[in-house]
Amino acid sequence: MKAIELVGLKKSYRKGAKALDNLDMKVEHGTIMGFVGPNGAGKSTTINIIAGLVKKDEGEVRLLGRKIESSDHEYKRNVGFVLESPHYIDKLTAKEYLRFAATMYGIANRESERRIDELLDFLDLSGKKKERIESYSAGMKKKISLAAAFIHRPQILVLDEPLEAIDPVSAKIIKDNLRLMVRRGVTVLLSSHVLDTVEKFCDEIAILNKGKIVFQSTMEEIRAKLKDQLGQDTYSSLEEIFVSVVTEDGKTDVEKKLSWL
Amino acid sequence: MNLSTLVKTNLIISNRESVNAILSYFLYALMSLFLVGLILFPLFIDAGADRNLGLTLFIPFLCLYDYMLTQAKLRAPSLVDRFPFSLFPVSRTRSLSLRFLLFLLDKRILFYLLPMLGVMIIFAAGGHFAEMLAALLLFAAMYLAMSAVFFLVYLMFRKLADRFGVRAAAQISSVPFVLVALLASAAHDKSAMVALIPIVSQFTNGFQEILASHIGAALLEGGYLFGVFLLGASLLLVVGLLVEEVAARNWIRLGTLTRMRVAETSRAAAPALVRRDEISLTTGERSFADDGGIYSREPAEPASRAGWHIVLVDWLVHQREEKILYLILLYPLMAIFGIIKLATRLHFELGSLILPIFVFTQILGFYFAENHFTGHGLRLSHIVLTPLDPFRFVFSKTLSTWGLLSLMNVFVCLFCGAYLDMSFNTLVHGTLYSLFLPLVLLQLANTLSLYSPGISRHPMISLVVIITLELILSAIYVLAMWVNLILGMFFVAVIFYASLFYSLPAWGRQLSRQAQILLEYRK
Repeated sequence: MKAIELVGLKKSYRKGAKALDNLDMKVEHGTIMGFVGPNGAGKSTTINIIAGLVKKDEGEVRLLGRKIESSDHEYKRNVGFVLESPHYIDKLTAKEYLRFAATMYGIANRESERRIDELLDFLDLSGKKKERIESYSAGMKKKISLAAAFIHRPQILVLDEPLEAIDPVSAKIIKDNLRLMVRRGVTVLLSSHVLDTVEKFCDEIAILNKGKIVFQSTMEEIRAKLKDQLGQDTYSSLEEIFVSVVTEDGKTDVEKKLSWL
Repeated sequence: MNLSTLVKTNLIISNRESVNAILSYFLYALMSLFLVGLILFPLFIDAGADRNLGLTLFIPFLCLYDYMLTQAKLRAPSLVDRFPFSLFPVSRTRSLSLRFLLFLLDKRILFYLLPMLGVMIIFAAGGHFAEMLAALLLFAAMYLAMSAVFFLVYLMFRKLADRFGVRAAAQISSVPFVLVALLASAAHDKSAMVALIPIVSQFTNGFQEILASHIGAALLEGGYLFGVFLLGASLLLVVGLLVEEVAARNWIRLGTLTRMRVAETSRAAAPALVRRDEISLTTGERSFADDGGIYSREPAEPASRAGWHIVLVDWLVHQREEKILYLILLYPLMAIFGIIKLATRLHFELGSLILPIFVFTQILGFYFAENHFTGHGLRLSHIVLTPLDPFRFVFSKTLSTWGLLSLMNVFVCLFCGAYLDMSFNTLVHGTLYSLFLPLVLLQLANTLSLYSPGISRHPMISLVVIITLELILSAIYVLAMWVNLILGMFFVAVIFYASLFYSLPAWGRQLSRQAQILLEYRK
């Protein structure tokens, strides 16, 4: 049984643009899956479908072995989300918003207060807990989204650019703790454009291009496969792999320059 | 789930979100009172103890009150929005009921009920408890009825907007409303209704006589208004569907006949065509220029795709639709006028009630056309941010154009009225209707801009054209009104319709161009 299983997902937006084209992906229990792809590849659409915010046209979403229908909502008790669009209410303070989130997850008052205090301390937000979220920096707002995703102790975390705008120290703490959670059986699907982070942090990587998974494997396997296919001996970084995979025939166009500069 | 935490959170958000809104609201209130007072105070002094006139003068105040609420962003708190609930394990039905509950528990809802409460207090103070009860019942009934009607209108509008784009949909939508208003004007003497009142009273005399006659008559009046609007909604549906059908056929024809030609049209030329048509003479701004054309004008997720019950509740509570939600409260107010009229045996013109309908449907149209789906243009919803913003709004192009033209009309009415020695009541009605005239002119101007895009590039020319037309129209209108009020209305309506009629071919061309661009885009 996989933690996350996406089978034949299709999604087209109006005007005929295909966001997802028969997307298949499996994520093992207790692993961190890096989900990367160029802009418009369909990463956020996939995550929004898992979150139930966007309706799929075709295909199946299975979480923890259970098929998720569009009317399902109970599965969200086991999943924490950090989405591209913020979900917090910025007129609330961090503590008030997390209290609202805890209420929505049905966590008892005393327990929720304990978790909120701990989370705020963990994310270095204790000093700002009485200030409204609207006054927070982008990184602090991201931390609030992360806190809301952690508060109900989910078994799966679906994170869209979770470390974006977060300072290096906090990012390291968050990554360390994510790793700890993974060791305890939590599964993480992490979408990011920061390939360096994905390369160093994730166990597996799925590269999405034009609505399809073009590669899904461990880093070692991807390197080996590309070496066979493209005849290159070494790849110094995920960036090279990524560029090779998402551009046609492995020929990159990253050398193009602006004529007027 | 801890409901008290939710309610408390909702109250916190409501309090914090309302700080700026309340301030803006009071500023709007003050300014509106000042403006209306400035125009009508001299008339009011002369009116003496004419109670009828007092009620008539009250109408624009209520219109402005409604408009103030809309502009002051007194909307439901963010928690009532769908978004905050979407990530949590709550069923859709439960989420909707929760949001609706939170919407009702927001204390600011009192602002919307204020006119009704005011009327009830007046009745209660006078010992008219039957009327007070009738006001309450009728308000509730009309609210529900009008919600249903406007929900239909809203769905239709969305459908039209999906198909034709927002601007065309707004203009198409305004047609049935004008028809309804004309019908209502035609039924101005209300002879049929007056004949019915004794029958209803007789029927209800078995109960407590006074109570029954008042409620019966009030319901009759409310029913009359409701019937008129129901008719309007039906007309809207029929006209909308017909237009849609015709356009769909043309679309197919256009697709087959012009496909080859479209291929020759360069992509670079397409935005230029769009831009020329989308420059608004009303605001002088380009509605769709920022996004490079018509492609992104459509809402991402049309409401018609979701279940009707979800759309209904969503529509009722969703903050982005607050303007329609508040707008529908105007009509219960009119029903209350019906009650006042019948309960107090005053004889003010029911036709005066049609004025707000004209004004607000047009505002709705302009609002949708300029702001709602496109996100461009005047952006009324973004204006109320600081205490100074309401002033900025007053001096914004749309409102100042309307205000300027209305003021001009008032002066023309007063001048002609004095010269012709018209009766005071007729003069007041003329003044009130003169608020409607600029909308006719703006419609004309829009038509003109469709035919002569050059005009819209030169705001000063368009202003001069409008003002000239405005002066001529006002003078003719007042002269017509002097002879007969209905004739005056008819005259204005004819002009309005003529402008609509002449603008239809231009809309057709506009639609064709859009279709061409769309076809090319799809290739």
